[in-house]
Amino acid sequence: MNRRSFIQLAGATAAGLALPAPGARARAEGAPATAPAPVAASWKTYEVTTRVEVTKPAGTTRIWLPTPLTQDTAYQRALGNAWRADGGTAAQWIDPASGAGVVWAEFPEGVKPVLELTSRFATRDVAVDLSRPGTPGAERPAELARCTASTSLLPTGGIVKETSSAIVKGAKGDLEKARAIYEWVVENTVRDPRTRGCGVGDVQFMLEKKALSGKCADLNALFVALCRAEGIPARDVYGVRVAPSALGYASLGKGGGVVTKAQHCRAEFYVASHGWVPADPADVRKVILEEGGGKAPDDPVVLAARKRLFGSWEMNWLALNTGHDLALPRATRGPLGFLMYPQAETAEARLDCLDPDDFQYAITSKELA
Amino acid sequence: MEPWTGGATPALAGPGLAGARHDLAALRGRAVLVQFWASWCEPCEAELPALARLRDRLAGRPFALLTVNLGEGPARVEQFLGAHAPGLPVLLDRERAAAAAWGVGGLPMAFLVDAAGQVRGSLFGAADWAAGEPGAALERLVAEAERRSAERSGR
Repeated sequence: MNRRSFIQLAGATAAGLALPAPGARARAEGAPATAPAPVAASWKTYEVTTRVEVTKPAGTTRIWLPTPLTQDTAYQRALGNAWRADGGTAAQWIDPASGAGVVWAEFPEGVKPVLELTSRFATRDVAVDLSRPGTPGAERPAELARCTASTSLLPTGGIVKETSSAIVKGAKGDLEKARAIYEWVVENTVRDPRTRGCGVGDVQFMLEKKALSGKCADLNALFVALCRAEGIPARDVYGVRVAPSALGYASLGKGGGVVTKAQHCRAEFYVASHGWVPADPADVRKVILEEGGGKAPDDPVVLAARKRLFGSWEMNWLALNTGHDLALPRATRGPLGFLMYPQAETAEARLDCLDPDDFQYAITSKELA
Repeated sequence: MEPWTGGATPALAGPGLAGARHDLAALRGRAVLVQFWASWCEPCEAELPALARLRDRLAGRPFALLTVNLGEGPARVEQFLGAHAPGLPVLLDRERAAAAAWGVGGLPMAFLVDAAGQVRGSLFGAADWAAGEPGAALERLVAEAERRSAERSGR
């Protein structure tokens, strides 16, 4: 497993790593831990810039921004991060458990808290051929253990285990079980456009209250928790859509370059035969709700998406991290269930990342030549 | 309504608007409806005025209403309440600690607390507290509080 080294900075004003010139090839730093066979797709290079301003600072203000995945995979390569925090102290941090990367800054009272992060990365579509055995590399036991453990939002016992056991009854092997869980989530959940942001992902609450609706952070968390309850390593992959869908799905892409509200969480599960397998049942529900004004579950467009989204991802999307229960550096409030949006705290409170009154940010994306 | 299975009533105390402070424990002797809400919750927007009417209807009886705002700043809460339910008591759960302690995983979510301070039930989703099962459950607790008060005063 290769980890990119980062410069820790201190002192007023910040400068991150120099970004390579556009067009630089995504260089491999060695084989990724697991290597599902990608489709014959070319790499595309993107630059995403996030600018955050806390408009009502109080006392010391801190801002945290997620970076792209800190470890290269078959579908994404990190090409560097650069940041600016005038008057503040900035640094990059990596969560030791999940590898989640964060650029964060601290501003003293009296300084306008503005943090800007520019990240470059390359992506290529990924698909796992589940019709025949793959030849994956071995995943670290620690990562597999992390991805079968309970989290604050994803318990694996109680009603979660009761539900997963019923779903996988009769299925043989982890791949069949994961597929059964995927189909169950697609068939039994609903995307609710009224859900705030991407949802909360409180799986126990969803099952206990029979509130099987929400958005990606709810529905894919349900998939992940149910897999984990069956001992199948699984993880949410939090990210943001950065480009339109080249496959023609208007609902599964983001055009125009402004991706401030284009956050999207996907999911992966691990089987010994094929390594990490991409999945996204939440996007199947998005196609049903939104594609062409809405489609019936048995519409050919939906059926095609349902088939494709078990085993492949179109990579018009930036993967940020797979972290849960993150204790952000120097945060004075509790751990985050997950990190997909910018975060900030003042001396008064942890700010609501979805409330534009206190916490303004913009995220833009562009494909580089 | 779902029966409460969470054991002892979690603490619920904290700041409100304009320097106010709210504490569920101080409302012993009355049946209490605790309502969690947020301005971004569509069903909550309709529910708050209805709760204000409920409080007025039960005036003079041993009943108290305590709303809890989930995660929003005082300016937004004040503006929203001013537009939809002026004067409603609201505890600001800015850090969402109360929501975590009470198991609030979605909104709106309400809890009925009896006159002895014990949570008796919860309801997830919009509710009509003037009718049906929620209304009946609330009336039972208010009547229970009245009996308890009468017994204590020897009447």
